Amino acid sequence: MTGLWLASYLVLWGIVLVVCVLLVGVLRQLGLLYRRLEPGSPSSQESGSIPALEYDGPTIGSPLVDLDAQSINGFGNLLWTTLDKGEARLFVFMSPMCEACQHIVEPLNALVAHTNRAVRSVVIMRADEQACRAFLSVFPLHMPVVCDRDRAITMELNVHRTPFGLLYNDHGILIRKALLEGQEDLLALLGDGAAPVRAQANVFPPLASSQAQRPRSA
Amino acid sequence: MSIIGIEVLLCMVLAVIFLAAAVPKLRHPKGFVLAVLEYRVLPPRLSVFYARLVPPLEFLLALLLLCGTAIRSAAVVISLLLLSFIVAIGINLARGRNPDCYCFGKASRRPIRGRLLLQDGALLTAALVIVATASEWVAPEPWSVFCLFGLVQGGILGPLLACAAVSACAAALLSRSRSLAGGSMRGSGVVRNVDRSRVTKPDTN
Repeated sequence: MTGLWLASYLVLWGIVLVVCVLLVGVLRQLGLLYRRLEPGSPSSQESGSIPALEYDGPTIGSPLVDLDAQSINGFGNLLWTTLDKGEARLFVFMSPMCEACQHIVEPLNALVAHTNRAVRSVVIMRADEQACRAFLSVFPLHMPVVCDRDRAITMELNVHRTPFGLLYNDHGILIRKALLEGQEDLLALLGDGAAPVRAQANVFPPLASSQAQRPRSA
Repeated sequence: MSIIGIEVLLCMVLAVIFLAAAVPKLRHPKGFVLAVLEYRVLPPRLSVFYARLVPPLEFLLALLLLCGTAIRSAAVVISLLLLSFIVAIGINLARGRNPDCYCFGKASRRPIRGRLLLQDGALLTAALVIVATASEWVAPEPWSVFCLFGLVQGGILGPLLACAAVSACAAALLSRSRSLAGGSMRGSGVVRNVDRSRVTKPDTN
């Protein structure tokens, strides 16, 4: 093979590699675009039939709902009633194939492991039992998980997004709700003022206004 | 276009598609395990094994096609993989279920549809054309980068092993890249920063 042929082959392979990289980049951008525009994505939810975050879930200040359900991961029967007082409660709504839900598992487990029962948590999984069990086999959760097969709990609480968190105080009053896209969002929901601004934007009511009200309530 | 031209073109197309499919799955392996479980075709243990096997295999096959090494064998394995995808999609469509496709990992999640069977069928046809036109089962093709650079003196298994080694390294790096980028969540703030007084005090109403 002459030098000219070899050079042309090398150039050709270089072009092929560049085209491959460009194609992967374009596919990725197309995927992201598709994901952003598809129904049910967080961005489309904002403008679609899904209510705004402020109106998603129960209204702030509403009392704890009665929850009588069987957990599917060995925590037995859960019986939370409006009469229960003394412990803050965290409801987290998830769907098995929601990617953000998969990311929130580890922070949730860390929360349960370290808060020493300061906050009692329950995960409401919006799926049938087989899907719930499949999720738990891959992403084990160290807190009670209730399988909401017929979406009765999510409908009662008017929750449309996942992963979505509801935080009730020790008087059984809903004090904060948030879209939980990561660890920072969980921190913001739990009232950490040091959480990033992006995370605080996912919380309702905003932490800043809560902090402003704090002296009055204290 | 000559037979070799068609073969090279099909190899490159399949290689790019399989590479694009493998990388996101390698970066988020647990998500893919969950997706395979959600198809509900295989028993859970077999589903997990299949889900662990497929992403590195896709990467290796893409690399073999890209490098022009053992492409006949690679095309046979690709055909079997595509056949398994078609069977899984077909069973779910027959059951009336539409789980997420997860074909290109998390970036392209969409419910499975009949159109997906046609896409996989087209890819299967391309793979079968490669099986029919390729000359070597294990050795590099004449247009392979290994032949062009004269790297086949060490034996015909050398390029195959090189591709396998690169795939193994890439799979290990990609699966680690996510955890390194995400960092460890444990003890990194969730607990430390929870202000219990703000949880227990009603700060609204």
